[in-house]
Order: sequence, then structure tokens, then C-alpha cells
Amino acid sequence: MLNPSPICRGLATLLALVGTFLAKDALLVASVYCAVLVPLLVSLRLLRTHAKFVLAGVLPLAIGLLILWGVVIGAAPGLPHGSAPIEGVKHAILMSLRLAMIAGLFQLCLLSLPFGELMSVLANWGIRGDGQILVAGSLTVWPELQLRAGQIVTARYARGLVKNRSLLTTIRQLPFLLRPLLTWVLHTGILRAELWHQQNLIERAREATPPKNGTIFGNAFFLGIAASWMTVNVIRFLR
Amino acid sequence: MIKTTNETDGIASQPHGASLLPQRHLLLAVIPLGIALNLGVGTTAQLIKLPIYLDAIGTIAMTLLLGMRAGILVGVLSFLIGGLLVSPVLPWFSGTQAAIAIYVAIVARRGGFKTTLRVIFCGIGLGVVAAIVSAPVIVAVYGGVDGSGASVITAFLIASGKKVIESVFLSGLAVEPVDKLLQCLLAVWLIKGLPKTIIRRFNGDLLEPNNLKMHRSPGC
Repeated sequence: MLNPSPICRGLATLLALVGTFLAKDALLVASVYCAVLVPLLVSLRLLRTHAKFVLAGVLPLAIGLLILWGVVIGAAPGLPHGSAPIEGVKHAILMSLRLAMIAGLFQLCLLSLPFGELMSVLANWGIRGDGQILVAGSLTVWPELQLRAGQIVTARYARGLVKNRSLLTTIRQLPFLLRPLLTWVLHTGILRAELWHQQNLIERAREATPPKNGTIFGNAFFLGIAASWMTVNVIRFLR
Repeated sequence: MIKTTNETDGIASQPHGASLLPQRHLLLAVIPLGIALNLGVGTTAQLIKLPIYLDAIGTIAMTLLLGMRAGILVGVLSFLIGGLLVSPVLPWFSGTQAAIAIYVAIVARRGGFKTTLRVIFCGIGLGVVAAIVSAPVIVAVYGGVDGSGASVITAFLIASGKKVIESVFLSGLAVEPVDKLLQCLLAVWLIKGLPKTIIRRFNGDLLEPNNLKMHRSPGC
């Protein structure tokens, strides 16, 4: 029901991103984040992914920014250092919220796509031919690499090459991980290229990208929210 | 757009006994895997809180193996996708990745990765380039302090009265050369460890001038 067309999906994300860049009020960003973005992420079952991303990526960054802008510099950009710690803290909060919002928007735009629609959406965005294959391949190969890295570490455990599972020991596995991983990357790439060539998969993938039309309600809903968000922020920015 | 068979840089036209394989297919298959490698290593370093970034090993290795255009694609796409999956900071530094690929290609064409000493000089130079390209981004997007390890140095420099851009650039110069030097050394070490059967598939003009095809295979 809430499935927008690829064009509307891209346009709504773009408008929302512009709005977020122009936002100067941390409270407003926080409100929209909690009242609009989070419910949308929940409805599309992306909240867990987003929460993990925020906890691992945005939160440590936010703490760092708070300490640096609020304590070490003690001012917002453009002000003499130590003159306004509260402004520094506000700036750090705004930066962190913007980053969380932008990440949420991108996740909403791309990760909510069913795998089968990825090629069609990319084609509708004008990413065709080799670029389309590259982007689709890049977005889907990540779990494969994680699996391979896990297998290498497990194999080292199984052979008794790793004494224990402490953090320090895990860190020491990185050099041993790199060479097999690069070899695997190149070897798999060669095998895959041969398979694609033999079965003419690239040409077939291009042909299998029919245009997609979203629902009118979905298009209007996402475009309306994004346009409103951008308009509010443009007005406040120009004021 | 990836170039077709005869124009593509970085790939052997027909390796010994290999099936007739359009090089475009090989590039399209290897680049996404290079992106995953770039992201995987960078993320691991970030998660286990290593004092270095290690976020350009894939870019450097792929530039040496596949050429400049493929290196730029690997670097830029990995940082754009990394912004979606790993850290919101990454996409802003896509330009730095492109600069890294261009620098590596230019230096490698002149044999900059031929000996360890040359790699050390190239790594330090790469750090300076990365610091120069990253500084305006950090100032424009984050106001000078982006929460990374180098930001502590930046913050102290700003607090001591230096200009923001100057502080960002100086802190970048303190951190980046060490990081990029290690990454260059690691990338060359990785390529030298590749089995011959794999590396002979890659006949880029960047491998020959750096003696990266003349090594012994460790049989990984």
C-alpha cells in the first residue's frame, strides 16, 4: 500500500535530505525523527537495522562530538572558544541528529526495497547497463564477505591456531584474515565473471528490468512528507 | 561506464589457457567484491578500535590490480554503501577515496610501489594527499570536528587559537601519513601473497612497473 514508484522514492529521499541539511533546529529534527522516520522504519521492519546502525555508528560519534564541542572547544563553530559551551553542545546534538536522520532516510529509501525490485528501481533512476550491475552487486555482496570472514576465523579456531576467543586474540586474526579474503575476492570474481559470460547473465539481467509504478497513495504520501519537511526547513533557513 | 575488452585497463587480455572471457565481465564481478573487502576490513578495524582506519586497503589493492577507474569505483562506492550500512560519516569522504585511487595510479605508473622504501615514501605522500582532500570536507560538514581520533588533536588546536581549517589540516597531517603508509605496505604485502594463478589474470599497466607480478606464490 505504501509502495512508491522508483522516481517518487528517489525524489522524496532527495527532498528530505535537502530539508535535513538545511535544518537548524535540533528539537525539530528530533521531533520529525521520532514522529515520522521511526514509525516508517517500524512499519517497513527496518527499525532493528537502523537501531544497530545508530548504536554502533551514530551514538559513539555523538558522544565524541558532545565532548569535543561542549567541553574541549566549548563553543559552536564561528564563536570564540570557551565562550558558549551550551551552543557547542547544541551544535553537537544537531550534527548527530542530522547524521541519524540522513542514515535513516537512506535506509528507508534503499533497504526497504524487495530484492527483486532493486534492478528495476536502479533502471528507473537512470542507473543502467554496467552501472546497474555494479551497484546491485555491491549492495548484495556484503553478507557473502561476512560469511567468508567468519569461515576463515572458525577454521583457524578449529585448527587450534587461536588460543582463546578474547578480544585481543580476535584483533590478532586480522592479518591472517586479509590474505585469504583478498584471494577469495579475486578468485570468486574470476569464477563469477566466467559464469556470467557462459550463461549471458548480464544481458539477461538488463532485459529483466520492467518499469515499476507505485501506488498513488504511496507516491503522494512520501512526496508530501518530504516536500513539507524541506519547505519548513527552507523557510526557517531563509528567515 | 566500464570500457569494453580492448580498452579496459588493469585486466589481462587472455591469460594462459583461460576461457574466452570478456574483461568487462571480470571487472563487473571483481569490483563489488573489492567494495565488500574495503568495507569489511575498515569496519573490522573500526569495531575492534584499532588506532588506524584501514579503510582504503581495498581501494589501493584494486587500483594496483585493476587500474585507476576501477580503483575510483571501488573507493567511492564502498564509502557510499558504507554510509548506508556501517557509519554515517563515510559518504562524505568518497572524494578522498577517489583522490587515493588517482594518486596510487599516478605513483604506481612511475614504479612507486617497486621497493619497500618507495612504498614508504608513497604512503606518506598518500597521507598528505588524503589530509588535504579531507580537510575541507571536515570543515564544511562537521564544522571542523567529526568525532574521530584525529578530532581530539583538532579540538586542542582550535582551543589553542589556531584557525579551524588550519587545525583540521594539521591534525590530518599528524594521523593520515602513518595510517596510509601502513595501508600501502599492507596492500603491497597482500598482492605479493596472491597465488600466481590469480595474479596472472590481472595484467594491468600498474603491476609490471612495480614488480608485483614477479613474486613467489605462497599457495594461499
